[in-house]
Amino acid sequence: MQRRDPLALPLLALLFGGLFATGLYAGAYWLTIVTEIAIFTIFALSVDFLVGYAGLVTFGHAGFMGVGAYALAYLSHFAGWPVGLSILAGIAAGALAGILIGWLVTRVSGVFFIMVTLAVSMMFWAWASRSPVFGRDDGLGGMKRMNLRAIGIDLNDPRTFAIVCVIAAALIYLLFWWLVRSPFGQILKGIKQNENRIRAQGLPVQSYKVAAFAVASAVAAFAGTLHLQNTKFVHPEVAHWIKSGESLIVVIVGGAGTLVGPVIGTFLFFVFHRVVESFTQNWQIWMGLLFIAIVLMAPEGIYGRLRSLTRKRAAPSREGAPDA
Amino acid sequence: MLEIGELRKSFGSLVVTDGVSLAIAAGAREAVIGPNGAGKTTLFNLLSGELKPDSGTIRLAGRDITRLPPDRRVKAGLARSFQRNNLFLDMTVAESLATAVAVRTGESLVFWRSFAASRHLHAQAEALAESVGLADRRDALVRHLSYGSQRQLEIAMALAAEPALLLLDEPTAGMSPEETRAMQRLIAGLPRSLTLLLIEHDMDVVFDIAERITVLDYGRVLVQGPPAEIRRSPIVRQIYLGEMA
Repeated sequence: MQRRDPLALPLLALLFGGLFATGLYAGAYWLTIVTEIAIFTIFALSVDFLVGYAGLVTFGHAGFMGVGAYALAYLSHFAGWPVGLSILAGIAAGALAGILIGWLVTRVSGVFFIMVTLAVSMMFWAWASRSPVFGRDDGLGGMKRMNLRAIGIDLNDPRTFAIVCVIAAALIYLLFWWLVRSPFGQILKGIKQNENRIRAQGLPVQSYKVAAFAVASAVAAFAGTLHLQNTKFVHPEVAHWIKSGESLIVVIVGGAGTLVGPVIGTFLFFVFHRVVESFTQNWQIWMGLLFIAIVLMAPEGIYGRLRSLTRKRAAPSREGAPDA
Repeated sequence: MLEIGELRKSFGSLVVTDGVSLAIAAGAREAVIGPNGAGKTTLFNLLSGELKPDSGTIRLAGRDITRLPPDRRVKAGLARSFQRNNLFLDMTVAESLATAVAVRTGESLVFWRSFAASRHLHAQAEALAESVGLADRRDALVRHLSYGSQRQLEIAMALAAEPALLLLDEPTAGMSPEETRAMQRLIAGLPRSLTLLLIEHDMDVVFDIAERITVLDYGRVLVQGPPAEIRRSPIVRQIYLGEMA
């Protein structure tokens, strides 16, 4: 029933294995990039779950990264909670915000959905930028990472932190892989393909959209807690629409609705950014041109394109010949 | 099974459903006919909940469903097919039907098991595909099906909800004569436990399947009766059948 993806496993092994190996052996410069890629991959996967599976094109998902980061900052820095517990609370705050905001935004669809998610996330950004407690738009440093010395792990070591982030990204990949192959995931695909049809089967569509939104928000909040620990700095930029936009870019360029695509997209985005940055300050222009070229040549994204090429070659009759 | 009382709906100044009352017994097979614009599909949309009536009541098996949203009406036992194919184009026939079965059984909430490996979902999907004659197309993508096969799948999707009352909106619309005959056999062969209400333009199909026919015109019930009576009725001949002569 499930159409197989012979490419998925080798590609994932290459990407996650590559990140892991780089984390083990690379110098300080590439370590920071590995860490950024791993954290952004988690965020991008949560966006793909919404955009590519549930058909909810959000332009404000970074807001939930912000919820996770600011919840962790408040609880660990000001309320004196242990960092580990604060991370869990940050994820829970993301889920809760996802339910409340999801309930609001799933009342509209299409362009309105895009605009409302953007507006809500920028409300969070505006609040964070003016909050005296969190240093307004200067942000606030001195944040702590989780203390795992009891089990012999020192997260303040950049290499260890990078590897923990790569493992977290791989686990989040597995979480979404497991979700989208379930009946619940199938229902989300049904909502994306034809919302009216699945409603006519007796499904309360809005509740399922809210559920998907809450899951994706919780995972984005988790990415936010990792981001905060990485930079040890809380800053409103984490919730800015540019982050939301970048997540959409990596999802679309990599291939929406594939989970593998966003991993590829994030990898390319960060590596290309660093490489081009070393030649010219105008790296955005070259990034823009590259992405336009990719989207023109592969409208279904890099991984979507690769997959349809291999499927055609491997099994031309796989999808059934049109009947007479 | 179904009692409609004084149902009214207007779009602006245009009254499309003008005090329609109708009672359908359990297990009955009835048809609604009428010229284009008579308000047939609007009546179906009011029954399935896509539209809300301005006034009037709809009772299903004694229960007032007038204000229920569409998905709750399906759970209450009312399913419909659509005049235009309304399907999951990027799923296979089997996936579409298994998805529909998952909605009915409540397994739509199951996130811990694999959909593809949920054998009972696929066994029921298989049985549904077979019941509408699509068994040999079960692994075909829906978008690759012929129009007629898509119409058959449209019926199977409605059946997957295991309704007590099935509304069929022009099941043979756009079909070739052979496809129409196959569809006619398919509908005639549906279990008698299922109450059927269909909208149809093909009079052969209507007179073959329906035990009672309601004629709508300008949103009102013009006349109602068994096929033989409807065939003879001068007013129906003038307004509706006359068109076809």
